[in-house]
Amino acid sequence: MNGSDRTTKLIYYTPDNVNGLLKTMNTCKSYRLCFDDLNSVDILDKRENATTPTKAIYPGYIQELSALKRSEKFFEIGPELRVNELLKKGATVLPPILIRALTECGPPNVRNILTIGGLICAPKIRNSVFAALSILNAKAEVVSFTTANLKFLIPVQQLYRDGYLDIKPGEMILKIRIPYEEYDVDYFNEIQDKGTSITFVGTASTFKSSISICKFAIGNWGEEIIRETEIESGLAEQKLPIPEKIIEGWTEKFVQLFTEKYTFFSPYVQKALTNMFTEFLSRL
Amino acid sequence: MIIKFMLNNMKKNLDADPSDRLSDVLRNDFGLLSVNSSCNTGRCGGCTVLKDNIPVPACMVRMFSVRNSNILTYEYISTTKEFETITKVLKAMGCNFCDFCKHGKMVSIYSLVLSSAQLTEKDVYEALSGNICNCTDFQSMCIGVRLALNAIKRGKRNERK
Repeated sequence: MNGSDRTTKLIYYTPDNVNGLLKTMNTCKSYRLCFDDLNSVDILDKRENATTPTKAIYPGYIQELSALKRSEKFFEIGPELRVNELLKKGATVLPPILIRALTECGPPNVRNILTIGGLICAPKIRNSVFAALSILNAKAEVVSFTTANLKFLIPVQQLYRDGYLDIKPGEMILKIRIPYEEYDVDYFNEIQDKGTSITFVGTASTFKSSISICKFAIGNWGEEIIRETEIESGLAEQKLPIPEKIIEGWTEKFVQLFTEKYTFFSPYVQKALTNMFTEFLSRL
Repeated sequence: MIIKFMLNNMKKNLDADPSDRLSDVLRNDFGLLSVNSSCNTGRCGGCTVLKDNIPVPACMVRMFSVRNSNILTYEYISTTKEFETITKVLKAMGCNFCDFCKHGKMVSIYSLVLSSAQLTEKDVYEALSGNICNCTDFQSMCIGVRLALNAIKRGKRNERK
């Protein structure tokens, strides 16, 4: 390491609570948000024509951002909560799909550092957990510092537009809200292809020997989370048990997606995903 | 920025760039060469250290998150009694780790043995899944770790008596 690298030009702020964070963010117009394992984000004020920030903020010491709260209808996860802590605290509360997705995201020593907010916001690592959260109808509570600390909820699926995180400068995720919903069938499977992993996540619930809700998502490394609402709604009114002919029909429709829409998948992945889809349907 | 933290149970005040990796600081500033960072993405597990008694890959920890925490490296762990018993048992089982994975694996095993009352094969497999190296047979290592836990427990019981 060179001596020039050692010079500390940035002034670091480590606020202990959300209000302190808001104050420092409002006073420093141009700043760098630093996170544990991920890249830092530079937020620059255009009026000052700033090119590099002089101040850096690390929100890792804020306890409110690393809490797991339960209420009657949903539970809220702080974005700075470590994955292993979340698995320990929420072992009995969290939906089985989310637990599986969280355990698959890395070995235990890495999970001691990974945060759930990081898994959502990092564009390349959000495949398994992101797919599970999108199926569970999770919403992100975002606070905007620019418009008088306005809080609003965004569904996790809509956090990305054209592959980029749709959170503007002056906005920040405060909580991730997951509603309590019990599903009869939970399905999670993952495959490795060319150093990346692709996940298939599915849930379904039944009512009076017919499917009432059926959801599935494909988490792909760095790409958009794939959800096919047409197939989901078509499956929703199906009577149980599903005959083999109907399963074959739906699988054909699923295979058509790869030739029409998702051509970037390799033949190996396409085959594996179709097998997963048929396995998911046969479990219903 | 001056960062106050404990390194191997000794108070340290270090003037460092907060965005530096802990692994780089431990190697370059403190000369702790047991921290081998080769992948810098937390995959290999060669740079595993204990941060507040929790195993973490030092290459993924930035200096600003180290404030007020206790970092234990292989150099400190190797001086403890528990480490001696672990190494004895593992040697008896025929486990000879290579120099690439030795430090990381031993730190992971040390924290696993001290933090658990009972261990299954699955626990050992999961705890060591972050240390990629096939130099040692897993079955014998698993038995060794479980025997080491029993030996440490027995030692503690004898001390009380």
